[in-house]
Amino acid sequence: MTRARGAARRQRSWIALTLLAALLLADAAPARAYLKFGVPVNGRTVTLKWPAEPVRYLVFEQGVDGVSATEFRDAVARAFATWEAVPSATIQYAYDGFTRTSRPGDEDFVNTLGFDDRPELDRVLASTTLLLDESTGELVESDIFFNSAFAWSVAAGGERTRFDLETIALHEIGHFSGLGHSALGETELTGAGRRVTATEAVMFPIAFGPGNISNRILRADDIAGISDLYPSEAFNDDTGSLSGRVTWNGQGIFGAHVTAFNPRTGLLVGNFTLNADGQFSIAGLVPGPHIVRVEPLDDAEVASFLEEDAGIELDFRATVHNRLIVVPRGGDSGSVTIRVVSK
Amino acid sequence: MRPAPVVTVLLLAGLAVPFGLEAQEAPPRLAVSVGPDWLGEADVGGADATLTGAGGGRVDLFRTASTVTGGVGVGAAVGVRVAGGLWTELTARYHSARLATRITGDIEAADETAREALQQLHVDGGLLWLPEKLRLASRLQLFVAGGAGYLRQLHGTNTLAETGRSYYAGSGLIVSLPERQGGTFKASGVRLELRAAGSRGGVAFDDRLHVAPAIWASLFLRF
Ligand SMILES: [Zn+2]
Repeated sequence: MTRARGAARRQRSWIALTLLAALLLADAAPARAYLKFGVPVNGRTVTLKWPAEPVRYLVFEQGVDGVSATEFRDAVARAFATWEAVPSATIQYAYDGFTRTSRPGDEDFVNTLGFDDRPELDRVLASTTLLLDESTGELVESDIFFNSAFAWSVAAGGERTRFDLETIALHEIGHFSGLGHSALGETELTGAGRRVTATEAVMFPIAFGPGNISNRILRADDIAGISDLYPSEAFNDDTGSLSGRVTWNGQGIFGAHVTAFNPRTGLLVGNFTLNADGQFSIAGLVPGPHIVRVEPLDDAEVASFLEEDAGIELDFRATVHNRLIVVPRGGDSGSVTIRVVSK
Repeated sequence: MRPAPVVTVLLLAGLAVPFGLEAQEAPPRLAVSVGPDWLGEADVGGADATLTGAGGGRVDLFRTASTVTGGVGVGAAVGVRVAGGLWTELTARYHSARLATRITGDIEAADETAREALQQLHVDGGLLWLPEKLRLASRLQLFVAGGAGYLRQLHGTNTLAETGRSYYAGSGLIVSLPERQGGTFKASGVRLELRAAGSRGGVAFDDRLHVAPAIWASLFLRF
């Protein structure tokens, strides 16, 4: 990774990932893929991740109404600790203290989390920016800002009219670590926009409303994602993957949301078909038979997940595959083809 | 000294047996049985796919109900007489079975039944009891049987084997064929057995005991 300012500038690029307030329409910036970001490097795709651990971070020393700088630091520390506690992932973080000079969003090779007053971003609760080295696909810097235009809380049980800082930090730290959005959720359109009715991933792109603290804990989908990026030895030995293609009239389709459900554990893990051949792969599954379900990406704006102009197919019917697919321990299911039909 | 006569009588009765047996051919001590085994359907549990609702409760993505059906396979047993009408048996039963999960209540009406082939082996140790009280006629004998052992199930893709425990309890009828004199075996016949076949673990999606009906029809030889 070169740090030479002039040369590096051409090679670095920013990705911004935003978490949206409930009831508001998604307008997140495009991401390359769900679970992991693929970065094209010299003609091949490299997974975006931190090259070394622990990943160090600073906290911008500024509080807001209801949350002091110290309370902010403690809430984000709890969220970092939740990701660190995933036994099948190795990711570690280290707190390096408060800063008054490095603001979230500054390109300074320092990872900073803090509040920022962005009233013009009236749909954005928080946003993570990732600076990457395009020559290696490695992360160089990541900052998270929490929009102080919203009301925040660090109360243990949440506060009805305020967004829970730890919950939102947990989602943003997923991005900070290299994860994209999950589509494991259901939404409904209301007059004001899209409202989340249910989700089973902290990394779903739209947050529950104020006062909700149910996403302070990671779900199977989040755990599979972080473990896929930073796998422990046990992860590779003890879990398996399920892969295959989704086709419509014999042609692969791009951007289908594929979910694997294990009836023994009750765990759901999802991913997307990520090329024109309709290929997908879901890692981090507990060995055993799985139900495979495919649906169009219609529960949030597609741009929350994948490049909007990439030809994402939305007009097919949600389909459960008529075979149980067995995931072996430490291996792959072997390619399964799931055929879908028009709505 | 009152107990003494009782002890004496018992000893005499015990001593009498070998003398009595010498008068006729010794009863069979070993039995081999083999024949088709039908194993019915057992519910094997399973979780529903749910999401965390905005209100804190669970929201169904879909519900599941799973069964394993054994179908027609084959069973074989080797028995050793312990005493009188009591035998110990080692039984092996193989079925080319099917695991089926019915998906209902899908949030987008994608209801379906997903299936998978299984190879299934039960190996059990048990007891077979043929009490004289349950002899219906000279060649018709009712019996009861029960045992427990090991269950191994291999998923259709041969990539994952699962093990569990096996249990059975049943009863049935033995029809003896006319005895042969001087042959390699002492008796033969047909055994028809109805049983409750239990299992725990294996491919089951929970840890409960699951029971399926089963029927075994076998030919036996006693040596
Ligand atoms: Zn996000």
